[in-house]
Amino acid sequence: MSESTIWALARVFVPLSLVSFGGARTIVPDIEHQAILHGWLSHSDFVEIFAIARAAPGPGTTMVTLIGWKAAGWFGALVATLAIYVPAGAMLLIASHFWRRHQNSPWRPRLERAFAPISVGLILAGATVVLNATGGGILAYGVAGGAAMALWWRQMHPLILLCAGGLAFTLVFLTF
Amino acid sequence: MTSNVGKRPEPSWGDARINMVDADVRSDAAVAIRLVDLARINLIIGLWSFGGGLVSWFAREFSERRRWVDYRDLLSGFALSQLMPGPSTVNLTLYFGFMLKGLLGAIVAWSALVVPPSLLVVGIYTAYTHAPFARIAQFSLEGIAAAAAGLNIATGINAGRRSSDWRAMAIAAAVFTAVAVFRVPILGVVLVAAPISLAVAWRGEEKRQRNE
Repeated sequence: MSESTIWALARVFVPLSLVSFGGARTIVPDIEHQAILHGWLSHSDFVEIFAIARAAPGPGTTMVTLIGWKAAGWFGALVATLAIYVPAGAMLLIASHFWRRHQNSPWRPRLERAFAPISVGLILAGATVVLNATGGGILAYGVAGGAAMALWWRQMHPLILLCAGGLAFTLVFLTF
Repeated sequence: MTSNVGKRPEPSWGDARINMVDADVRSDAAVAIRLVDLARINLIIGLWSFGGGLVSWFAREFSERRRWVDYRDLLSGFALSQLMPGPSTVNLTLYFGFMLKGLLGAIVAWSALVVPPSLLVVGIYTAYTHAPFARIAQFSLEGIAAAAAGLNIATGINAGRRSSDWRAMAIAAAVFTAVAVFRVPILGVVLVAAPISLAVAWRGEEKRQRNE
């Protein structure tokens, strides 16, 4: 770990934070390019880190924490994590301040009404992208459909449904 | 989050009167919200979120169980979270934390959601390089991600059912197709869909006001 590595982590991830529309998923190509260019990761390191960050709990952005940790230990992890979250977070807080402040503006009910169908489309698209990214194929769609129906009709707790999904995949994996 | 469907009336998109009633209820509830509750919920959600099941979970905890936010606040916050840079789930918790308890609330909610998984992922990475059962673990995690995607599908369809306007449904379908099928970048889709949706919403709102 060197001082220049710490600065490089900040210089790479602060600008990426400001263009990470839709989260880390959209900036993955840039992250890969920079991490390999700076010698923080090999190609296979990158694939491993990407897979673990996606499968582990928390936002996919935890991959940035892992890259910082690989590059410069715990201090590197801290710097990379703050660099990827703080600029975007600060922008969000400023935006939400104005968003809520203009609650009585005639624009607000119209903007909210306008955003609602876009949100619905994005929620469903996000679910589809996750399903396609898993290695489960039809099984993944079956588990997702089952979880959605169980939530509708039996009103089950999300934790139970998540565990059932993991169990279904494990059983199929062990059987075939 | 969909568990209360049919049990109580939900505000429809654009029904400002119902929203105002909900806002009064919320301001009473806001007094009782403690930082420790905000931290506890975010801690649990952060550590149990695989593959983005967060929206449905936030809806369940913040809106349905605790009534801290109403359904329109939830969709409104989700829309803003999607539009701004950063992971939408992290943006959503910042939005709610800030809305409910100010800057300190935002910092507490963010820390509880982000810090534990960030530490955990380093541990998992270290363990992964040694574990002989790593492939089975990976597969079960993918199953959890698939179930989480199913929870989001339930959230999306449930929110969509609140609208009786076919134009809004057509916009939702078009956004879904562009992003999920044609993999158009979200920013581009939103830049095109937002003005169209705003024009539709404007007309709908004027019509509603004329009918009153």
